[in-house]
Amino acid sequence: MIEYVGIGDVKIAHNPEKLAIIGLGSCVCVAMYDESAGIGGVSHVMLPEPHGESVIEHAERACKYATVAVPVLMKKMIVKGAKKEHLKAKIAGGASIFRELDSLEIGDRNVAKVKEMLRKLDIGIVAEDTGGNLGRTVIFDTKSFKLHIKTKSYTKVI
Amino acid sequence: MREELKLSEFQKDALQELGNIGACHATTSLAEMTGITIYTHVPKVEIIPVRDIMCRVDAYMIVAGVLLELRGDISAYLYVIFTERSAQFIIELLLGRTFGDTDDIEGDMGSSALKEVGNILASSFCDAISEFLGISVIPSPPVFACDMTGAILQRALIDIAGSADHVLMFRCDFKCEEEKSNDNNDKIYGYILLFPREESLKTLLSMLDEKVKEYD
Repeated sequence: MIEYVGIGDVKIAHNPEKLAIIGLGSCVCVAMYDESAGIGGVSHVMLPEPHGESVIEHAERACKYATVAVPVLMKKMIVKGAKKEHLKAKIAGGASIFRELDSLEIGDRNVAKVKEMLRKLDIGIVAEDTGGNLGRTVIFDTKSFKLHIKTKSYTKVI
Repeated sequence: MREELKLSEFQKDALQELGNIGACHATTSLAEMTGITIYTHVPKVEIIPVRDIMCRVDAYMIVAGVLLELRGDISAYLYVIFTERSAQFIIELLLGRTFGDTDDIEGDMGSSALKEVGNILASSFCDAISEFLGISVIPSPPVFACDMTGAILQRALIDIAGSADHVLMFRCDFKCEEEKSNDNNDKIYGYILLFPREESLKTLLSMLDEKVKEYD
């Protein structure tokens, strides 16, 4: 079974379910897993952090921001039975699709913020496929804990 | 808590009509450019939760997309999207090459041609709605990418959906005339997408309300 993870969604799945993000551009897919517990989760991050506005009151809806999504993903994993010390992460995305336009470099900033959050939570990044100029479709398999990545010019399993 | 974005039936119709005016002008200029009759579908106006957007478009499909930012009295993002096949067809037509030998949509010539097409369509769209509402809307220079629809649309979303949970999406599909030889059927297929910023949507709605009062 494949479940789709929309922008700002955080979803947890158990072996052998799959979690997918279709058409990932500057957004980042954060996949987290605990191999021994057989649990995996995916968060679909759109922006590094909220500006101004307080988002704590509806943290659930604020999961499009890396600063909120990464800790929420970790908490959900633990609630479902994962052990904090067993958690590992794989990340993909953060591309710059419109080369001429992206002085913002939002993709790079997303990746940097996700990494910073993972470091703060002491969760190691095992593999990544980030940056570049291509959109990605990503499927996270909670059986093998591999991230299957497909772009228009390459496919990759990390 | 922010107010949830909602439209009355009337507001939806009015926006749809406004978009229709823009889209018809845009496709007319495409028809003039290519010499091919273009059909415009009835446009759709939808309010979509940000997390569901990728389900409402063919996020996985690879398309040629031209993106322009609209500024002036209204601030929005406008996309002119073509299927890969029709992007190739348009390039060949405009550059006068033999059909079938333009393999690279992303090459300099190809992408410039498509950007120009997007620019002309967007300008016609803006002119038509500016004239109708008596306002000024100016498109930015066009940018181009050929990739998955989802990845292409994210550029507008990071800006518009940063603070909103819902976005308004206007979509109008167009294609070439069906009766002609079957061969030509899907040679031109594309759509225009418009994502207004939240505050511009309010401006648009109040302008449309005013417009209705004029007729009462």
